[in-house]
Amino acid sequence: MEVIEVHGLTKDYRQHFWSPLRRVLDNASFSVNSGEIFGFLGPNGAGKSTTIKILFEIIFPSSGTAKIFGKPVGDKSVKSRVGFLPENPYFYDYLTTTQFLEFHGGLSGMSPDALKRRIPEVLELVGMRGTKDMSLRSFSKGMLQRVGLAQAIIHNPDLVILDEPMTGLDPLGRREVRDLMLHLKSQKKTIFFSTHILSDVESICNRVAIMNRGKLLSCGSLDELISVEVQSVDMVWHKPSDALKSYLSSLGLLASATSSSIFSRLSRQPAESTPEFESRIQSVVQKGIGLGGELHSLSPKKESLEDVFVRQVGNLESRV
Amino acid sequence: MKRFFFKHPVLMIAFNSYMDARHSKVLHIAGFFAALLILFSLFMGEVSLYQNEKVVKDVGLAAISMLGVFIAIYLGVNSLYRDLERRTIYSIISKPIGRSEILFGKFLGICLVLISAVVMMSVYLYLVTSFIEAKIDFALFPAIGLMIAELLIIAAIAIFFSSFSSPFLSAFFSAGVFVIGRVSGDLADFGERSKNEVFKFFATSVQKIFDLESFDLRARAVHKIPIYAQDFWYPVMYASALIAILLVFSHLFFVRRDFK
Repeated sequence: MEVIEVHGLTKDYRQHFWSPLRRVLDNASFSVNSGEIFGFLGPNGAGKSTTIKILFEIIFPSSGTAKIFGKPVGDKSVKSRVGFLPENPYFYDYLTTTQFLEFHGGLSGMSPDALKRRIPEVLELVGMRGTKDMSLRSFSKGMLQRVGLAQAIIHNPDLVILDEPMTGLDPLGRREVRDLMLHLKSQKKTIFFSTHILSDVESICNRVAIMNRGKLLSCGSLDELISVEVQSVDMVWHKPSDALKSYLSSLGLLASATSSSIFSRLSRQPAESTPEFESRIQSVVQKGIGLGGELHSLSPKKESLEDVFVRQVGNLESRV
Repeated sequence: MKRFFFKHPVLMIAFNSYMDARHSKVLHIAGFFAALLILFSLFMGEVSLYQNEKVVKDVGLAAISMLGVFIAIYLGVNSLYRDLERRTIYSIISKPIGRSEILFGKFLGICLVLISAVVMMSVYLYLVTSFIEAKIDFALFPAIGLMIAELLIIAAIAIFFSSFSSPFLSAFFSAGVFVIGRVSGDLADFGERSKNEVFKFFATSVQKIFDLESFDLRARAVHKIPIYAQDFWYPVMYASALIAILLVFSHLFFVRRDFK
Protein backbone atom coordinates (compact mmCIF):
# COMPACT_ATOMS: atom_id res chain seq x y z
CA MET A 1 0.00 0.00 0.00
CA GLU A 2 1.30 3.43 -0.95
CA VAL A 3 1.46 5.88 1.94
CA ILE A 4 2.84 8.85 0.00
CA GLU A 5 2.09 9.38 -3.68
CA VAL A 6 3.72 12.28 -5.49
CA HIS A 7 2.91 12.90 -9.17
CA GLY A 8 4.55 15.52 -11.38
CA LEU A 9 5.24 17.85 -8.50
CA THR A 10 6.62 21.17 -9.71
CA LYS A 11 7.37 24.34 -7.80
CA ASP A 12 8.36 27.68 -9.26
CA TYR A 13 9.53 30.44 -6.94
CA ARG A 14 9.83 34.12 -7.46
CA GLN A 15 12.33 35.75 -5.08
CA HIS A 16 10.60 39.13 -5.45
CA PHE A 17 7.53 39.95 -7.44
CA TRP A 18 9.74 41.60 -10.08
CA SER A 19 12.29 38.77 -10.33
CA PRO A 20 11.88 35.90 -12.82
CA LEU A 21 10.43 32.56 -11.84
CA ARG A 22 12.94 29.93 -10.75
CA ARG A 23 12.07 26.22 -10.88
CA VAL A 24 13.12 24.53 -7.64
CA LEU A 25 11.17 21.33 -8.13
CA ASP A 26 10.71 19.86 -11.57
CA ASN A 27 8.09 17.22 -12.27
CA ALA A 28 9.01 14.92 -9.37
CA SER A 29 7.09 11.66 -9.03
CA PHE A 30 7.64 8.89 -6.52
CA SER A 31 5.81 6.85 -3.94
CA VAL A 32 6.55 5.55 -0.47
CA ASN A 33 5.18 2.19 0.62
CA SER A 34 3.68 1.33 3.96
CA GLY A 35 6.09 0.12 6.64
CA GLU A 36 9.30 1.08 4.86
CA ILE A 37 12.10 3.50 5.68
CA PHE A 38 12.48 5.74 2.68
CA GLY A 39 15.60 7.89 2.29
CA PHE A 40 15.37 11.12 0.36
CA LEU A 41 18.86 12.02 -0.85
CA GLY A 42 20.34 15.02 -2.54
CA PRO A 43 22.77 17.87 -2.13
CA ASN A 44 21.75 21.27 -0.76
CA GLY A 45 19.20 22.96 -2.99
CA ALA A 46 18.17 19.67 -4.58
CA GLY A 47 14.49 20.21 -3.74
CA LYS A 48 14.16 17.79 -0.81
CA SER A 49 12.83 20.32 1.72
CA THR A 50 10.60 21.89 -0.94
CA THR A 51 8.98 18.49 -1.53
CA ILE A 52 8.53 17.94 2.21
CA LYS A 53 7.06 21.43 2.65
CA ILE A 54 4.51 20.65 -0.06
CA LEU A 55 3.55 17.46 1.79
CA PHE A 56 2.47 19.66 4.73
CA GLU A 57 1.06 22.54 2.67
CA ILE A 58 3.71 24.84 4.10
CA ILE A 59 4.04 25.83 0.47
CA PHE A 60 1.78 25.00 -2.46
CA PRO A 61 2.88 23.28 -5.68
CA SER A 62 2.81 25.15 -8.99
CA SER A 63 1.57 21.92 -10.55
CA GLY A 64 1.30 18.24 -9.75
CA THR A 65 -0.35 16.42 -6.89
CA ALA A 66 0.70 14.92 -3.58
CA LYS A 67 -1.36 12.50 -1.55
CA ILE A 68 -0.83 10.90 1.84
CA PHE A 69 -2.85 7.82 2.78
CA GLY A 70 -4.70 8.34 -0.50
CA LYS A 71 -6.05 11.76 0.53
CA PRO A 72 -4.99 15.32 -0.33
CA VAL A 73 -2.09 16.43 1.88
CA GLY A 74 -3.96 19.24 3.69
CA ASP A 75 -6.68 16.93 4.97
CA LYS A 76 -6.93 17.05 8.79
CA SER A 77 -7.55 13.30 9.05
CA VAL A 78 -4.24 12.80 7.21
CA LYS A 79 -2.33 15.24 9.40
CA SER A 80 -3.44 13.48 12.57
CA ARG A 81 -1.68 10.33 11.29
CA VAL A 82 1.57 12.07 10.34
CA GLY A 83 4.46 13.33 12.48
CA PHE A 84 6.94 15.91 11.22
CA LEU A 85 10.36 17.12 12.26
CA PRO A 86 11.37 20.23 10.29
CA GLU A 87 14.96 20.97 9.29
CA ASN A 88 16.87 22.97 11.94
CA PRO A 89 13.83 23.21 14.16
CA TYR A 90 13.29 26.20 16.42
CA PHE A 91 10.68 26.02 19.11
CA TYR A 92 9.25 28.36 21.74
CA ASP A 93 12.22 28.32 24.05
CA TYR A 94 10.43 29.56 27.17
CA LEU A 95 8.54 26.26 27.36
CA THR A 96 9.72 23.28 29.36
CA THR A 97 9.95 19.93 27.60
CA THR A 98 6.64 18.83 29.14
CA GLN A 99 4.84 22.06 28.18
CA PHE A 100 6.26 21.81 24.67
CA LEU A 101 5.08 18.24 24.21
CA GLU A 102 1.70 19.06 25.76
CA PHE A 103 1.29 21.87 23.25
CA HIS A 104 2.13 19.73 20.23
CA GLY A 105 0.27 16.68 21.52
CA GLY A 106 -2.75 18.86 22.27
CA LEU A 107 -2.70 20.26 18.74
CA SER A 108 -2.67 16.66 17.51
CA GLY A 109 -5.88 16.05 19.42
CA MET A 110 -4.49 14.23 22.47
CA SER A 111 -6.20 14.68 25.81
CA PRO A 112 -4.26 15.89 28.89
CA ASP A 113 -4.60 12.40 30.43
CA ALA A 114 -3.25 10.66 27.33
CA LEU A 115 -0.35 13.11 27.24
CA LYS A 116 0.48 12.45 30.86
CA ARG A 117 1.02 8.79 29.99
CA ARG A 118 2.68 9.34 26.62
CA ILE A 119 5.24 12.07 27.44
CA PRO A 120 7.55 9.90 29.63
CA GLU A 121 7.42 7.18 26.93
CA VAL A 122 8.56 9.42 24.07
CA LEU A 123 11.20 11.13 26.21
CA GLU A 124 12.60 7.68 26.94
CA LEU A 125 12.51 6.82 23.23
CA VAL A 126 14.47 9.90 22.16
CA GLY A 127 16.94 9.60 25.02
CA MET A 128 15.71 12.67 26.89
CA ARG A 129 14.61 11.07 30.13
CA GLY A 130 15.04 13.42 33.08
CA THR A 131 14.55 16.61 31.05
CA LYS A 132 10.79 16.99 31.44
CA ASP A 133 11.03 20.12 33.58
CA MET A 134 13.96 21.69 31.77
CA SER A 135 13.47 24.78 29.66
CA LEU A 136 14.14 24.40 25.93
CA ARG A 137 16.28 27.54 26.24
CA SER A 138 18.92 25.52 28.06
CA PHE A 139 19.11 22.82 25.37
CA SER A 140 21.94 22.21 22.92
CA LYS A 141 21.20 21.86 19.22
CA GLY A 142 21.27 18.08 19.50
CA MET A 143 18.84 18.11 22.43
CA LEU A 144 16.47 20.38 20.49
CA GLN A 145 16.66 17.95 17.61
CA ARG A 146 15.67 15.10 19.92
CA VAL A 147 12.84 17.00 21.55
CA GLY A 148 11.72 17.88 18.02
CA LEU A 149 11.66 14.18 17.25
CA ALA A 150 9.62 13.64 20.40
CA GLN A 151 6.94 16.10 19.21
CA ALA A 152 6.90 14.34 15.84
CA ILE A 153 6.01 10.98 17.40
CA ILE A 154 4.05 12.14 20.47
CA HIS A 155 0.69 11.24 18.88
CA ASN A 156 1.91 7.82 17.72
CA PRO A 157 1.62 8.62 13.99
CA ASP A 158 1.57 5.99 11.23
CA LEU A 159 3.90 8.05 9.04
CA VAL A 160 6.88 10.04 10.31
CA ILE A 161 8.49 12.60 8.00
CA LEU A 162 11.89 13.87 9.11
CA ASP A 163 13.73 16.67 7.32
CA GLU A 164 17.47 16.23 7.96
CA PRO A 165 17.00 14.52 11.35
CA MET A 166 20.73 13.90 11.81
CA THR A 167 21.68 17.57 11.62
CA GLY A 168 23.44 18.76 14.75
CA LEU A 169 23.75 15.31 16.27
CA ASP A 170 27.01 13.74 17.37
CA PRO A 171 27.80 10.15 16.27
CA LEU A 172 26.07 8.71 19.33
CA GLY A 173 23.01 10.87 18.75
CA ARG A 174 22.90 9.79 15.12
CA ARG A 175 23.07 6.19 16.18
CA GLU A 176 20.15 6.75 18.57
CA VAL A 177 18.06 8.37 15.85
CA ARG A 178 18.83 5.46 13.54
CA ASP A 179 17.78 3.05 16.29
CA LEU A 180 14.62 5.07 16.84
CA MET A 181 13.75 4.82 13.16
CA LEU A 182 14.30 1.06 13.25
CA HIS A 183 12.16 0.88 16.38
CA LEU A 184 9.37 2.78 14.63
CA LYS A 185 9.70 0.50 11.63
CA SER A 186 9.35 -2.52 13.91
CA GLN A 187 6.04 -0.99 15.02
CA LYS A 188 4.89 -1.00 11.36
CA LYS A 189 5.33 2.76 10.99
CA THR A 190 6.49 4.33 7.74
CA ILE A 191 9.46 6.67 7.86
CA PHE A 192 10.35 9.18 5.18
CA PHE A 193 13.48 11.19 5.82
CA SER A 194 15.81 13.48 3.94
CA THR A 195 19.52 13.47 4.58
CA HIS A 196 23.00 14.07 3.23
CA ILE A 197 24.50 11.27 5.27
CA LEU A 198 24.76 8.32 2.93
CA SER A 199 25.95 5.80 5.49
CA ASP A 200 22.72 6.28 7.47
CA VAL A 201 20.67 5.65 4.35
CA GLU A 202 22.69 2.62 3.41
CA SER A 203 22.32 1.06 6.83
CA ILE A 204 18.58 1.51 7.46
CA CYS A 205 16.65 2.39 4.29
CA ASN A 206 14.55 0.00 2.25
CA ARG A 207 14.28 2.40 -0.65
CA VAL A 208 15.81 5.70 -1.64
CA ALA A 209 15.22 8.55 -4.03
CA ILE A 210 18.04 10.75 -5.28
CA MET A 211 17.33 14.34 -6.25
CA ASN A 212 19.44 17.07 -7.78
CA ARG A 213 18.53 20.56 -8.97
CA GLY A 214 14.85 19.91 -8.43
CA LYS A 215 14.78 16.74 -10.49
CA LEU A 216 14.31 13.19 -9.30
CA LEU A 217 17.28 11.26 -10.67
CA SER A 218 16.42 7.79 -9.44
CA CYS A 219 14.16 5.98 -7.05
CA GLY A 220 14.20 2.39 -5.92
CA SER A 221 15.54 -0.15 -3.47
CA LEU A 222 19.24 -0.13 -2.64
CA ASP A 223 19.65 -3.40 -4.58
CA GLU A 224 18.12 -1.80 -7.64
CA LEU A 225 20.31 1.29 -7.45
CA ILE A 226 23.59 -0.25 -6.39
CA SER A 227 25.25 -2.70 -8.74
CA VAL A 228 25.84 -6.09 -7.12
CA GLU A 229 28.79 -6.80 -9.40
CA VAL A 230 32.42 -6.24 -8.44
CA GLN A 231 33.58 -2.87 -9.69
CA SER A 232 37.26 -3.06 -8.74
CA VAL A 233 39.83 -5.19 -6.91
CA ASP A 234 42.45 -3.95 -4.47
CA MET A 235 45.72 -5.89 -4.47
CA VAL A 236 48.51 -5.70 -1.92
CA TRP A 237 51.91 -7.14 -3.00
CA HIS A 238 54.73 -7.88 -0.57
CA LYS A 239 58.46 -7.68 -1.32
CA PRO A 240 57.87 -6.19 -4.79
CA SER A 241 60.55 -6.45 -7.45
CA ASP A 242 61.40 -3.49 -9.68
CA ALA A 243 59.97 -5.44 -12.62
CA LEU A 244 56.60 -5.77 -10.84
CA LYS A 245 56.61 -2.05 -10.03
CA SER A 246 57.28 -1.19 -13.66
CA TYR A 247 54.61 -3.61 -14.86
CA LEU A 248 51.88 -2.28 -12.56
CA SER A 249 52.95 1.27 -13.26
CA SER A 250 52.74 0.73 -17.02
CA LEU A 251 49.13 -0.49 -16.60
CA GLY A 252 48.30 2.52 -14.44
CA LEU A 253 47.43 0.30 -11.48
CA LEU A 254 50.06 1.47 -9.03
CA ALA A 255 48.24 3.36 -6.28
CA SER A 256 51.02 3.57 -3.69
CA ALA A 257 54.29 1.84 -2.96
CA THR A 258 56.78 1.46 -0.10
CA SER A 259 60.04 -0.48 -0.05
CA SER A 260 58.22 -3.53 1.39
CA SER A 261 54.80 -3.44 -0.32
CA ILE A 262 52.71 -2.14 -3.18
CA PHE A 263 49.05 -1.24 -3.19
CA SER A 264 47.36 -1.45 -6.58
CA ARG A 265 43.76 -1.11 -7.77
CA LEU A 266 42.28 -2.66 -10.87
CA SER A 267 38.99 -1.05 -11.93
CA ARG A 268 36.36 -2.45 -14.21
CA GLN A 269 36.04 -0.78 -17.61
CA PRO A 270 32.64 0.82 -18.41
CA ALA A 271 31.50 -1.81 -20.91
CA GLU A 272 33.45 -4.74 -19.51
CA SER A 273 31.50 -7.92 -18.74
CA THR A 274 32.10 -9.91 -15.56
CA PRO A 275 33.97 -12.81 -17.29
CA GLU A 276 36.15 -10.30 -19.15
CA PHE A 277 36.96 -8.47 -15.94
CA GLU A 278 37.71 -11.71 -14.08
CA SER A 279 40.02 -12.82 -16.86
CA ARG A 280 41.86 -9.47 -16.71
CA ILE A 281 42.29 -9.84 -12.93
CA GLN A 282 43.65 -13.36 -13.39
CA SER A 283 46.08 -12.22 -16.06
CA VAL A 284 47.45 -9.35 -13.88
CA VAL A 285 47.83 -11.64 -10.88
CA GLN A 286 49.63 -14.36 -12.84
CA LYS A 287 51.94 -11.88 -14.52
CA GLY A 288 52.67 -10.19 -11.16
CA ILE A 289 53.55 -13.50 -9.50
CA GLY A 290 55.67 -14.34 -12.53
CA LEU A 291 57.60 -11.10 -12.00
CA GLY A 292 58.51 -12.16 -8.47
CA GLY A 293 55.63 -10.51 -6.61
CA GLU A 294 54.12 -12.02 -3.48
CA LEU A 295 50.37 -11.39 -3.48
CA HIS A 296 49.41 -10.60 0.11
CA SER A 297 45.73 -9.83 -0.41
CA LEU A 298 43.13 -9.38 -3.14
CA SER A 299 39.88 -7.62 -2.14
CA PRO A 300 36.94 -7.25 -4.53
CA LYS A 301 35.03 -3.95 -4.15
CA LYS A 302 31.38 -3.50 -4.97
CA GLU A 303 29.65 -0.20 -5.71
CA SER A 304 28.53 1.82 -2.67
CA LEU A 305 25.61 4.21 -2.39
CA GLU A 306 28.18 6.98 -2.33
CA ASP A 307 29.44 5.85 -5.74
CA VAL A 308 25.88 5.88 -7.08
CA PHE A 309 25.23 9.28 -5.52
CA VAL A 310 28.40 10.82 -6.92
CA ARG A 311 27.79 9.25 -10.32
CA GLN A 312 24.24 10.60 -10.48
CA VAL A 313 24.62 13.97 -8.83
CA GLY A 314 27.98 14.62 -10.48
CA ASN A 315 30.58 17.17 -9.64
CA LEU A 316 30.13 20.49 -7.89
CA GLU A 317 29.75 22.48 -11.12
CA SER A 318 26.74 20.46 -12.15
CA ARG A 319 25.05 21.24 -8.86
CA VAL A 320 25.52 25.02 -8.82
CA MET B 1 -7.13 26.35 33.27
CA LYS B 2 -4.94 24.13 31.05
CA ARG B 3 -7.85 21.78 30.40
CA PHE B 4 -9.92 24.70 29.14
CA PHE B 5 -7.31 25.58 26.52
CA PHE B 6 -6.98 21.92 25.51
CA LYS B 7 -10.60 21.98 24.35
CA HIS B 8 -9.80 23.43 20.92
CA PRO B 9 -6.63 23.99 18.86
CA VAL B 10 -7.58 27.66 18.42
CA LEU B 11 -7.56 28.10 22.20
CA MET B 12 -4.20 26.34 22.40
CA ILE B 13 -2.69 28.65 19.79
CA ALA B 14 -4.22 31.64 21.62
CA PHE B 15 -2.81 30.53 24.96
CA ASN B 16 0.58 29.88 23.40
CA SER B 17 0.62 33.33 21.76
CA TYR B 18 -0.33 34.87 25.09
CA MET B 19 2.51 33.02 26.85
CA ASP B 20 4.93 33.99 24.07
CA ALA B 21 4.01 37.67 24.49
CA ARG B 22 4.38 37.42 28.26
CA HIS B 23 8.05 36.62 27.71
CA SER B 24 8.64 39.62 25.47
CA LYS B 25 11.12 42.07 26.99
CA VAL B 26 9.89 44.83 24.66
CA LEU B 27 6.40 44.62 26.15
CA HIS B 28 7.75 44.61 29.70
CA ILE B 29 9.72 47.77 29.02
CA ALA B 30 6.71 49.45 27.37
CA GLY B 31 4.56 48.53 30.39
CA PHE B 32 7.18 49.90 32.75
CA PHE B 33 7.23 53.27 30.96
CA ALA B 34 3.42 53.48 30.92
CA ALA B 35 3.39 52.76 34.68
CA LEU B 36 6.03 55.44 35.17
CA LEU B 37 3.95 57.94 33.18
CA ILE B 38 0.87 57.24 35.32
CA LEU B 39 2.95 57.75 38.45
CA PHE B 40 4.37 60.95 37.02
CA SER B 41 0.81 62.23 36.43
CA LEU B 42 0.52 62.58 40.22
CA PHE B 43 3.13 65.35 40.06
CA MET B 44 1.50 66.88 36.98
CA GLY B 45 -1.76 66.97 38.90
CA GLU B 46 -0.07 68.78 41.79
CA VAL B 47 0.82 71.73 39.55
CA SER B 48 -2.68 72.00 38.05
CA LEU B 49 -5.33 74.29 39.45
CA TYR B 50 -7.84 72.21 41.44
CA GLN B 51 -7.75 69.58 38.64
CA ASN B 52 -5.48 67.12 40.38
CA GLU B 53 -7.61 63.99 40.09
CA LYS B 54 -8.78 64.81 36.52
CA VAL B 55 -5.20 65.24 35.30
CA VAL B 56 -4.17 61.91 36.84
CA LYS B 57 -7.11 60.08 35.25
CA ASP B 58 -6.71 61.78 31.88
CA VAL B 59 -2.97 61.19 31.67
CA GLY B 60 -3.41 57.69 33.09
CA LEU B 61 -6.00 56.70 30.49
CA ALA B 62 -3.89 58.23 27.73
CA ALA B 63 -0.87 56.22 28.93
CA ILE B 64 -2.90 53.00 28.95
CA SER B 65 -4.21 53.76 25.48
CA MET B 66 -0.69 54.48 24.16
CA LEU B 67 0.63 51.28 25.70
CA GLY B 68 -2.28 49.34 24.24
CA VAL B 69 -1.78 50.76 20.74
CA PHE B 70 1.91 49.88 20.94
CA ILE B 71 1.15 46.31 22.06
CA ALA B 72 -1.59 45.86 19.45
CA ILE B 73 0.66 46.95 16.58
CA TYR B 74 3.81 45.26 17.91
CA LEU B 75 2.14 41.90 18.47
CA GLY B 76 -0.17 42.19 15.48
CA VAL B 77 2.68 42.62 13.02
CA ASN B 78 5.20 40.35 14.79
CA SER B 79 3.17 37.43 16.07
CA LEU B 80 2.69 35.71 12.71
CA TYR B 81 5.92 37.00 11.22
CA ARG B 82 8.10 35.66 14.03
CA ASP B 83 6.55 32.21 13.72
CA LEU B 84 7.28 32.27 9.99
CA GLU B 85 10.76 33.71 10.42
CA ARG B 86 11.76 31.28 13.18
CA ARG B 87 9.89 28.51 11.36
CA THR B 88 8.06 27.53 14.53
CA ILE B 89 4.97 27.46 12.34
CA TYR B 90 6.30 24.42 10.43
CA SER B 91 5.73 22.01 13.29
CA ILE B 92 2.38 23.64 14.13
CA ILE B 93 1.02 23.54 10.60
CA SER B 94 1.88 19.83 10.35
CA LYS B 95 -0.71 19.17 13.04
CA PRO B 96 -4.42 18.74 12.25
CA ILE B 97 -5.12 22.45 12.37
CA GLY B 98 -6.10 24.81 9.58
CA ARG B 99 -4.39 28.04 8.68
CA SER B 100 -7.52 30.00 9.54
CA GLU B 101 -7.45 28.46 13.02
CA ILE B 102 -3.82 29.51 13.45
CA LEU B 103 -4.69 33.04 12.35
CA PHE B 104 -7.72 33.27 14.61
CA GLY B 105 -5.79 31.74 17.51
CA LYS B 106 -3.04 34.32 17.09
CA PHE B 107 -5.63 37.10 17.12
CA LEU B 108 -7.29 35.69 20.23
CA GLY B 109 -3.89 35.48 21.92
CA ILE B 110 -3.23 39.14 21.18
CA CYS B 111 -6.71 39.98 22.52
CA LEU B 112 -5.83 38.14 25.75
CA VAL B 113 -2.60 40.12 26.06
CA LEU B 114 -4.34 43.43 25.36
CA ILE B 115 -7.18 42.78 27.79
CA SER B 116 -4.74 41.66 30.50
CA ALA B 117 -2.50 44.68 29.94
CA VAL B 118 -5.38 47.18 30.00
CA VAL B 119 -6.97 45.56 33.06
CA MET B 120 -3.66 45.49 34.94
CA MET B 121 -2.83 49.07 34.05
CA SER B 122 -6.36 50.19 34.96
CA VAL B 123 -6.08 48.56 38.38
CA TYR B 124 -2.74 50.32 38.74
CA LEU B 125 -4.36 53.64 37.71
CA TYR B 126 -7.08 53.16 40.34
CA LEU B 127 -4.39 52.47 42.92
CA VAL B 128 -2.57 55.66 41.97
CA THR B 129 -5.78 57.73 42.04
CA SER B 130 -6.53 56.31 45.49
CA PHE B 131 -3.79 58.63 46.74
CA ILE B 132 -6.04 61.54 45.73
CA GLU B 133 -9.58 60.24 46.19
CA ALA B 134 -10.71 57.35 48.34
CA LYS B 135 -13.33 55.94 45.96
CA ILE B 136 -13.52 53.95 42.74
CA ASP B 137 -14.60 56.11 39.82
CA PHE B 138 -16.96 53.84 37.88
CA ALA B 139 -17.34 56.50 35.20
CA LEU B 140 -14.01 55.35 33.75
CA PHE B 141 -15.32 51.86 33.02
CA PRO B 142 -17.04 52.62 29.68
CA ALA B 143 -13.95 54.56 28.53
CA ILE B 144 -11.74 51.60 29.40
CA GLY B 145 -14.16 49.19 27.72
CA LEU B 146 -14.18 51.14 24.46
CA MET B 147 -10.41 51.51 24.68
CA ILE B 148 -10.16 47.72 24.63
CA ALA B 149 -12.55 47.53 21.65
CA GLU B 150 -10.45 50.08 19.76
CA LEU B 151 -7.27 48.14 20.55
CA LEU B 152 -8.80 44.94 19.21
CA ILE B 153 -9.57 46.75 15.94
CA ILE B 154 -5.95 47.96 15.73
CA ALA B 155 -4.72 44.41 16.40
CA ALA B 156 -7.00 43.09 13.62
CA ILE B 157 -5.70 45.78 11.25
CA ALA B 158 -2.09 44.82 12.12
CA ILE B 159 -2.86 41.11 11.60
CA PHE B 160 -4.51 41.95 8.28
CA PHE B 161 -1.43 43.77 6.99
CA SER B 162 0.97 41.16 8.38
CA SER B 163 -0.93 38.42 6.53
CA PHE B 164 0.69 39.62 3.29
CA SER B 165 3.46 42.14 4.03
CA SER B 166 6.62 42.62 6.11
CA PRO B 167 6.53 43.71 9.78
CA PHE B 168 7.93 47.16 8.97
CA LEU B 169 5.34 47.92 6.31
CA SER B 170 2.58 46.34 8.40
CA ALA B 171 3.48 48.52 11.39
CA PHE B 172 3.67 51.59 9.17
CA PHE B 173 0.27 50.94 7.57
CA SER B 174 -1.36 49.99 10.89
CA ALA B 175 -0.08 53.13 12.63
CA GLY B 176 -1.24 55.16 9.63
CA VAL B 177 -4.75 53.70 9.77
CA PHE B 178 -4.86 54.31 13.53
CA VAL B 179 -3.88 57.98 13.16
CA ILE B 180 -6.32 58.54 10.30
CA GLY B 181 -9.03 56.77 12.30
CA ARG B 182 -8.39 58.96 15.31
CA VAL B 183 -8.75 62.16 13.27
CA SER B 184 -11.50 60.79 11.04
CA GLY B 185 -14.00 63.41 12.31
CA ASP B 186 -11.71 66.32 11.48
CA LEU B 187 -10.84 64.69 8.16
CA ALA B 188 -14.54 64.39 7.31
CA ASP B 189 -15.05 68.09 8.20
CA PHE B 190 -12.21 69.04 5.87
CA GLY B 191 -13.69 66.82 3.21
CA GLU B 192 -17.12 68.48 3.52
CA ARG B 193 -15.54 71.89 2.96
CA SER B 194 -13.22 70.75 0.20
CA LYS B 195 -14.02 71.48 -3.43
CA ASN B 196 -11.95 68.49 -4.52
CA GLU B 197 -14.48 65.73 -5.04
CA VAL B 198 -11.87 62.97 -4.75
CA PHE B 199 -10.64 64.22 -1.38
CA LYS B 200 -14.23 64.71 -0.22
CA PHE B 201 -15.06 61.12 -1.13
CA PHE B 202 -11.87 59.81 0.53
CA ALA B 203 -12.38 61.82 3.75
CA THR B 204 -16.01 60.87 4.22
CA SER B 205 -15.32 57.20 3.35
CA VAL B 206 -12.53 57.03 5.91
CA GLN B 207 -14.86 58.34 8.58
CA LYS B 208 -17.44 55.72 7.70
CA ILE B 209 -14.94 52.82 7.65
CA PHE B 210 -12.34 53.70 10.27
CA ASP B 211 -14.14 55.89 12.75
CA LEU B 212 -11.97 55.41 15.82
CA GLU B 213 -12.92 58.77 17.33
CA SER B 214 -16.16 57.33 18.66
CA PHE B 215 -14.08 54.98 20.84
CA ASP B 216 -12.52 57.87 22.73
CA LEU B 217 -14.72 58.48 25.77
CA ARG B 218 -11.75 59.56 27.89
CA ALA B 219 -12.57 63.27 28.17
CA ARG B 220 -16.26 62.60 28.84
CA ALA B 221 -15.46 60.02 31.50
CA VAL B 222 -12.91 62.23 33.25
CA HIS B 223 -15.06 65.36 33.13
CA LYS B 224 -18.21 63.48 34.22
CA ILE B 225 -20.13 64.26 31.01
CA PRO B 226 -22.95 61.70 30.76
CA ILE B 227 -22.27 58.62 28.62
CA TYR B 228 -25.36 56.93 27.23
CA ALA B 229 -25.79 53.27 26.42
CA GLN B 230 -25.68 53.87 22.67
CA ASP B 231 -22.37 55.74 23.06
CA PHE B 232 -20.93 52.44 24.24
CA TRP B 233 -22.84 49.74 22.39
CA TYR B 234 -22.82 51.25 18.90
CA PRO B 235 -19.01 51.43 18.79
CA VAL B 236 -18.84 47.91 20.25
CA MET B 237 -21.07 46.57 17.46
CA TYR B 238 -19.11 48.53 14.87
CA ALA B 239 -15.85 47.10 16.29
CA SER B 240 -17.21 43.54 16.12
CA ALA B 241 -18.23 43.95 12.48
CA LEU B 242 -14.97 45.63 11.45
CA ILE B 243 -12.85 42.98 13.22
CA ALA B 244 -14.83 40.19 11.55
CA ILE B 245 -14.34 41.76 8.11
CA LEU B 246 -10.61 42.32 8.72
CA LEU B 247 -10.13 38.72 9.88
CA VAL B 248 -11.98 37.35 6.85
CA PHE B 249 -9.71 39.34 4.50
CA SER B 250 -6.61 38.31 6.51
CA HIS B 251 -7.71 34.69 6.13
CA LEU B 252 -8.07 35.09 2.36
CA PHE B 253 -4.45 36.24 2.08
CA PHE B 254 -2.99 33.92 4.72
CA VAL B 255 -4.62 30.72 3.53
CA ARG B 256 -2.86 30.70 0.11
CA ARG B 257 0.47 32.13 1.23
CA ASP B 258 3.70 30.15 0.79
CA PHE B 259 5.70 29.96 4.01
CA LYS B 260 9.19 29.97 2.54
